[in-house]
Amino acid sequence: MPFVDDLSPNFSIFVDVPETKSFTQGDSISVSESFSKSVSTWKFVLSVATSLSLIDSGLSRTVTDFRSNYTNSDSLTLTDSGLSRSTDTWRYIFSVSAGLGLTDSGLTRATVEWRKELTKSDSLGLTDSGLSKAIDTWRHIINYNMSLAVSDSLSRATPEWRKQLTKTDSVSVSDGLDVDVETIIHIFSPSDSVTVSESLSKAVQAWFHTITLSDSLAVSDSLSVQINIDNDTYFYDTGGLSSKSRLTGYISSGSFVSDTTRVSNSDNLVDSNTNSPCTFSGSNSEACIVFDMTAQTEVNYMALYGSGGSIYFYGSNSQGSGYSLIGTASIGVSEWNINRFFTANYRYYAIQMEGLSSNATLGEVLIGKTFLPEIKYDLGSSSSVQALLESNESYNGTEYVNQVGDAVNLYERQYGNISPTLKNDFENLWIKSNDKKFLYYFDGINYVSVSPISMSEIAHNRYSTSVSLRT
Amino acid sequence: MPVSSSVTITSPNSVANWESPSTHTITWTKQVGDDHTVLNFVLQLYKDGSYNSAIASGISASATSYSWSIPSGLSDDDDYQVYIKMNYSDDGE
Repeated sequence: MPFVDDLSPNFSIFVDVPETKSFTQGDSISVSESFSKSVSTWKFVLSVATSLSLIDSGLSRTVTDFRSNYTNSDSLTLTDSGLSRSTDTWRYIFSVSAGLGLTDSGLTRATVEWRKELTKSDSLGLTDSGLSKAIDTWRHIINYNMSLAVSDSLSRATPEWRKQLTKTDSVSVSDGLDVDVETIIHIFSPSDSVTVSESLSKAVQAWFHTITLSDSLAVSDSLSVQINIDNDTYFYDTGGLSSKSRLTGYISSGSFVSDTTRVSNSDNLVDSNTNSPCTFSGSNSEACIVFDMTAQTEVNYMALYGSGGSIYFYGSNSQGSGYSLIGTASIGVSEWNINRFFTANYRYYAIQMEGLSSNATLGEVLIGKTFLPEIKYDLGSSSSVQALLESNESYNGTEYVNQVGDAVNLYERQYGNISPTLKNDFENLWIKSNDKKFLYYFDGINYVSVSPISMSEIAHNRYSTSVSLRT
Repeated sequence: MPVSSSVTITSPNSVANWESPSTHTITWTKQVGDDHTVLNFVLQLYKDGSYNSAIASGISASATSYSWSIPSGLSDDDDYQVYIKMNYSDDGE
């Protein structure tokens, strides 16, 4: 049979190579693709140790795992995935050291799992952790010195903060709303820096009501800086300091060590005479005097008259140990210095001069609780200066005067209608201060004595009185 | 001048790149000589100049193409050729 024929040119035939062929380490695979690829593909990808982002795929699971647990028809987005995966699966993922985006895991992890799985090297986004973690979990995390943002703090109990936070922790004040004053006191020491805007959650008692939002104040300053003492404020010996027993020595690391050579003439500290000083020896860098108030006594101010130096004020309920720093002061020479602080309540109070290189003196000390009358004195009250003059007449009848002493300030405070509470306050002032001087703040610090105070009952439980003060 | 018979493959050509397995169309043109009658066509696959496998035989005389299901099992290469043979009868003999 006749025929004719022809042969085509050479051409190519290629075998249908699976997608895996085209994958290299540099390939990027999106998650949406991942579950539709065949197991063979996964196998290929895994076998060449391709570096893939785990959040894309769950690639840390072996093919076997996928094969046994999922089919190609499974459609699973990662954000969904955490909810249906069993704890065992999570445990598996963690066990292969997967770097796992915690946002995937979220709230469905049991506290027990967190406790078990997290290590120091785990990266934990705190925003992921949220409110469902138990305090126990936080405690666990904190123990590993993990960094916590305080914005998370609302779910932490205050007791936790008190227990866990150290000076090196970072706390922003916006978090402070549920931190109570006790906690703040615990966390903040004089070396901490706090802006005033943080202070809103701190008790007025701690910060004093005179601080406003516009004030910029470092905490280290707050204990020693006097701000806007209200006129008509009394600073007297409310605790009976002058009659209490005293010890001398020094305080080191919170413990008192007795040493009678370090302070001399301690009686002069409470003798109502600023010109007779008590001497702190410069032979050692520290010297202190401890007052035993015989019972816990509330104190929120310390007033000093001295010759300069650095004063540290401590309190403790045990004579020999446990002294906590209440405040510090740098006093001027021959002037009164009033230091206010949050109320302390101790039995033993210590006033220590530190950094001594030579003898230093203190003329007088007052501690106690400030007294500001609940109402303002009446119109007709007076503040005046009285010159101490002596008037004489010469033989020829000429009159002349001599100044026989420094002028004194006189303050007459009239109260026509006061409550029993204020009556008791003034009576206490008289009882505690009738034999000694104290400080009265009115346009400045005045070292005054008080004349006898009498009360007249003008109606049931209402009284009138006048208070006379004289420098 | 008498006309002679001939057949020429037009596809695949030299740039064809066909996947296995898949289906592709083999096409050809023919010239039928005087007194000649086409009987059928035979298609075969050659590789590296040698016969590899049959594609089809007994293809209708009127056909000018054939849909070829490329089988699996072929190796990945670029030296394939399609061979076509046109059988005819010579009525003038």
